[in-house]
This record gives sequence, C-alpha cells and structure tokens, in this order.
Amino acid sequence: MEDDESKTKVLNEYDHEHGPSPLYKISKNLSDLTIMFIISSVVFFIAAGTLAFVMRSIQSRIVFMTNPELNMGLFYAALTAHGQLMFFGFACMLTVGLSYYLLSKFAKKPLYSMSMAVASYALLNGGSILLIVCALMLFGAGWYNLMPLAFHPQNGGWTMFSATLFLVADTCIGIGLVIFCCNVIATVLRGRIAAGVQKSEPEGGSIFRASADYSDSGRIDLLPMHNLPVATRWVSLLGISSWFPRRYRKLVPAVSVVVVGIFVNSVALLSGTVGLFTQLGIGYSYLIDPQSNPNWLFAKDAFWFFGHPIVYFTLFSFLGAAYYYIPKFTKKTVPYDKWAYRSWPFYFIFTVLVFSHHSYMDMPNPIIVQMIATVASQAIIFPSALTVMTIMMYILRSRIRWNIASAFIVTGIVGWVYGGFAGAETGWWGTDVYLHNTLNIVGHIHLVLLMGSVLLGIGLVYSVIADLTKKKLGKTLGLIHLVTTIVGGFGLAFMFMYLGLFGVIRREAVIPDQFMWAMPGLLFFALTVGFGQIVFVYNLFRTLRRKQNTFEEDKFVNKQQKREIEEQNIIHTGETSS
Amino acid sequence: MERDIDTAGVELAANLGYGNSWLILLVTSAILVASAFFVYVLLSTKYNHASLKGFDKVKYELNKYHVERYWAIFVGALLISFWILGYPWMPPVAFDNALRDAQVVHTVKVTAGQWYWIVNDGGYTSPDGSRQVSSPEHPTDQLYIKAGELTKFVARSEDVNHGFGVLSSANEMDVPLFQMQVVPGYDNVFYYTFDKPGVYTIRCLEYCGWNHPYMVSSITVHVV
Repeated sequence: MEDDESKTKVLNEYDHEHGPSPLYKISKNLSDLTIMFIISSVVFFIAAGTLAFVMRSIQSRIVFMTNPELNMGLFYAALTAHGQLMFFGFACMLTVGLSYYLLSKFAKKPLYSMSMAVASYALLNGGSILLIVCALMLFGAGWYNLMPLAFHPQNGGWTMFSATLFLVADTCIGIGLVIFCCNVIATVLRGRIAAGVQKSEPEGGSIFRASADYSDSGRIDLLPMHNLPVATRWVSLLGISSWFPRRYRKLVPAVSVVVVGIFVNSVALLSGTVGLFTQLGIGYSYLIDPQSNPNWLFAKDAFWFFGHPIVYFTLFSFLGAAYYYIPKFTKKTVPYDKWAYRSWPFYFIFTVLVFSHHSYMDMPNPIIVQMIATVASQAIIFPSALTVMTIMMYILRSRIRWNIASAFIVTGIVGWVYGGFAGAETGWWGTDVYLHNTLNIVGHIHLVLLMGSVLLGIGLVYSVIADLTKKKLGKTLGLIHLVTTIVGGFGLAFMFMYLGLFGVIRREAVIPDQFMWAMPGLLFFALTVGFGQIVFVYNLFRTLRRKQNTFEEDKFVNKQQKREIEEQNIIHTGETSS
Repeated sequence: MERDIDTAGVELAANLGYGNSWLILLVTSAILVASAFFVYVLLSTKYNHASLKGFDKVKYELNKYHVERYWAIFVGALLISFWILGYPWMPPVAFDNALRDAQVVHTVKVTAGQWYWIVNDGGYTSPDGSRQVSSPEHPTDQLYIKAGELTKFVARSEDVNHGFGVLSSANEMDVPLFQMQVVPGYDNVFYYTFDKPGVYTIRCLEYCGWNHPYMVSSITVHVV
C-alpha cells in the first residue's frame, strides 16, 4: 500500500509540464555556466541561420553586391561560416553545455574541474567569434577548410591573413573540445559514481517482478554511489556489460545511460580531434614553408577523421539523454534496460571508423581505407536501428505526455532516422558515385543535424531551462517554434535530398535555369525555419529576463526528497544545496 | 613532387551501381515504411488500455516477446545481405571486374586547374601497358571512343582539389554518370565504359574557389 502511494507520488512528479528532471542538485556555478552555454549557442544559431538566408538568397539571384565575383565570394564566405558556426558555435556549444549539466546530474557528482569547463566555454566562443571575423573578410574555403584551397584563393579572393585566422579559430575550438572531453573523462573515471544493479530484468519466471520494485522505478536520483574498479567501470561506461550473459551482467553496476552517452561521445571525439590537429598542423606547416609540398590527401583524410565524429558528437549526448527522458515522459522505466545500453559499444567503434566514406571518391587512398569505409558506414546502421526500436518501444502504447520538450525530442528521433536513410545511400561506394557532392548530402546533413540532434537538443533546452531557472518557456511561442521548425526543416531537408537525387550539385553559387524553379521553395522553407528560431530566441530571453514566479518547486520535490538531495550534495560536493 | 600512379593509386571502376532511379525508389520506400511505423507507434499512445497500471508493464510485455532481440537479428541479417549485394562495389572487386575482360584500355588524360578543364586523348594501351596504339596528346573536346570500350581517365590537378564529374547528359547540371576527386599531387584514376555516344558535360563537383560554378566543360563521345 505504501509502495503504491510512493509510486503515485513519483508519477505525479513526472506529470509536470517542464519535464522529468533528476533531483540531484548541481552547483550554482555549473547552473549559471549551462545557461551561458545555451545563450551563446542560440546567438550563434541565429548568426549561422542568417548566413543560410544569404546563401539561399544569392542562389535565388537576389544580388547583395553589384560586383558578380564579390557576390559569389559572399556566397562562399557565408557557406563556410554557416557550416562551421552551425557545428561549433551552435551544435557543439549546446552539446558541451548540456553535457556538463547532464553529466553532473546523472553521475551525481560535481565536474572534475569548473575551471576547465569555463575554459572550454571561452575557447568555443572565442573560436566562433573569429569564424565570424573570417566571414566578414570573405574567407571561403568551405566549412571543411579544404586544403590547399585555403591558401590558393585566386582572382582577388580572400587574404592569407584570413586563412591564418581561420586556422587559429579552429585551433581554439579544437582545444576547447579537447578540454571538454578530458573534463568529462576525468569526472567519470575519478571517484565514486552513481550506478545501480540491473534489477529491472525479469527474474524467477515473473516478467513483472522487477516493476514491483519501487527503488528501481527509473529514479536515477536513488542510485547509490559506487567506487567501481577500473575494468568494471570501463565495461559499464562503454555499455559492454549489457552484452554479458545475465548472471555476469548483474555483477556490473550500470552507470546511467545518460552518462554512458556522454562518455562514449567524449572518448570518440577525443580520438577524432587527432585528425583535426593533424590537418591544422599541415596547414600551419604550409604557412611557415610554402615549399614544403604537404600531402593534401592526408590532410583531407585527417580532417574527415574528425569531421564525422563531430557530427555524432552533436547527437550522442542527446541520444543518451533521450533514453532517459522519453521513457520518463511515457512513464516507463529506463536506467537499467539492457537494450538502452547495447548500442553504445558499436557507436564507440564505428563512430571512429565511419569517417572513411568521405574519401570514397578519393581514388589514390589505400584500399584498406576504402574497405573500412564500406564496412563501417553500413555497420553504424546496427546500433542506430537498436536505439530507434528501443525508444519506439518506450513510446508504443504508452501514455506519453505531449509537451514542447517531448514533441521536439520525438521529432528529433524521427528526423535522425530519415537522415540515416539518406546517409545509408552514400555508405555504398556504388551509390555514392551518383550522390557525392550533390544536394542529397546536404539533405542528409540537415536531416541528421537540424532535424535530428538539434531538435533533440532544443527539446532538452525546454526541459533544462525550467529545471535551472524554475521558469517555464512560453507554451504558445514554443508551439509556434515547434510547428515552424517541423514544416520548414523537413521541407528544406527533403527538398535538398530529392534535388540531389535529381542531380543538383552542392556548393553552387549559381544555379542553372533548369533548377531555378526549386529556389523559391528552398528560400521559403529556410525563412520558415528561421522565423521559428527567432521566436525561440525571443521566448528564451523573455523567460530568462522574467522575474522568477512561484513555480511549483515545493510540489515537485517533497521535504524528504529535499533532505536526500542536501545530504547527497554535502557528501559529494561538500556544499549545501540552499 | 608527383606521386607515381602505380604505387599510390587505387583504380576503381564504375558502371556497377543500379542507377539513380533505383536509388530514388529505394530511399522513398524506406522513408514511407519508417513513417508508417512512426505513425503506428504514435497513434498507439492514444489507446487507453487498462493494462498500463505500473510503470513498465507494456515494456516488459514487449520484452517477453523479444521484440528488440528479433529486431537486432533482422537488422544484422539485412546488413549482411547489403554487404553481399554491394560486394561488386567494393573497390578492389570493382577494379578487378573492370579490367578482367578488357582487351584494350583507352586512356584519357585530364588536367584540372582554377577554373578550367583540359582533356587530352592519350590513346590506347593494353592492360599491361605493352602496346601503344596511338598517342594524339592534344587538348580536345572530341573523344573517339567505341561504345562498350573501357576508358581510363587519369586526372591531375595543377593547384587545388577539384571533382571530375561526368554528367549523364549535355545539361549544365544533371545526375553524375561517375565522378572522382582530383587531389593535387596524385594521378587520380577512374575507369568507365560509355554505353552510347553523345555529348556529356564535365563539371567540377568539388568546391574549388569563387568561380567554381563556371568550371564546366564537355566531351563528345563518338562511336568509332
């Protein structure tokens, strides 16, 4: 009877509009920093979106500069800055900020170093601002900074100074990301961490026994702190233990799946940054000695070794969180579902290897690179399919509570799946030969990034802001944001995808007459998405500036739970949570 | 320093895919099937079924029937079948298949620069390189190629990365017949067999600077 009452209380808590937030209270400094990350990311989001509008306008033959060559230069500067700002200024900024928040919340411990967190924030911002400066100098070597083009602008293009500045910007961003990864890894590997035995598995022939256990009802806050041995910790953190036979699996305490997502993300990206710094190193060496005749193919491969993990980087932390948040919205158990963990070892391996399909059309590459590309590009489908099915099973026949946060997160999963189909096409050499560098790839990127990870991230922002500030984002404005983003985003991405299938080449400032009919459509959908994001930014800043209202904090956290939080904070941080 | 084609190059062959219309059909079907599944799942949340008393009863009912396990097996099997289906496209296999039955290889040399294409008819050689039938070695936009004849494109860049794309028509922009990156410092090699004569647009498919959209040329393939 008492159990039923406790259950009802917990269920009621989950019903709150602002979404399911763990009870562990993070430090004030981290809370403020998370908000700063969110603010910076949306500012760069708007800047990058404006550049997208410039590109679509030029393709629609709206003239910004009377000199045709400068007009094209503006297009390519916008193209370059749009890509990098979307990835680094917006998506990575949001990922890093929310990851710090989620990590502390779900590992139930403070970050290893707040100074490192602040440093990563400063470097990401500094780098992103430099990118804007480069765009103003009309630097336009592509967001992937394709060398040696950066140093061969031709015909009065950008200057070597702007090319150097671009390298410096990417160096700042790269260092910022490395600091983030190290901070996450140190936080997770040092000291105790919240973990629980996988109790939710059916035992003794009764498939419902586990659900009768209140302590295992999805409350990450109730997980005990463990001092896990190194080997145990690694197999838990990479999700490997979920593939163990049941009796061995139960011996390994499972860290929260949200922490697993962030950890896998950090380790994979840390590997990837080796590629970024290799490419940048080649660039710097060429600047110092232009006669050095670098191997540009190697520089290109090195960049993509980083360039693909950075896409997944914007996804994995949010995907890990989705494993927690979606079941919470649907009122189902999460943290110990073995299927929630089983994707992560595969993500870890194939994220690092999948880069090589970017080099399918680089014929001089060694055969082994092409072979790895083929295998890894298809193999990444396996964990993705597991994730999608598990999350859909959480939603199936549930009483999901639809609000702006849950709608964004579920839509993000759907967009990611559609983007995955577009990606699978190019995962084969025999089909990539038709699609490489067509707008189909742009459609794939916009589905995976804009309609996938970005929507997941924005959904989390709607939930996290409420938790951090005890103020809810406006519901009507949120609805406008949701609808315009879905209509504009899917419209834009699918137009890109099918135009690519019909042969429209990407990165073209001048579109031939035969395809001009599509430009108004692209411009319309881009403006629709942009309008939605402006509404979102207005909603966000209006909420942050608003005086704190009487949010139902006391209803959300009862007195006993408040005492638990304070005790945990005293134990783990040495601070009180007042 | 130019790198030797024979030591550095991986040579691939086209004419292997099922074509673009097949691809459009495949991806559209996949999106429709996935959409139907999502709609089904989302509509199921409207059911006010009495069985949902606890947190996760429905979840465990699904686990009971091993939905995720069977799904994992299905996806794994599907991927293995894709690997088998795509085996002829694996680069080394594609290379072998293209050259296996070829009596002669028509070599075409391509030079790329900001922002131009130069195409030289390099003449015919046997696959082992021992027989040189002709070597006009002059820039041309007229290629005399036999239908069904294996043509070897060897592309070099004078400056930056370019993308050598031969489109499927004379249109300024269309679906590529084939393409390869032209990486500076390397001979970049691609084999292709033209099925029918006609005019084919050559277009740079890799962004190479402000005037990249104007890096367009064409070749006329004649049946000899």
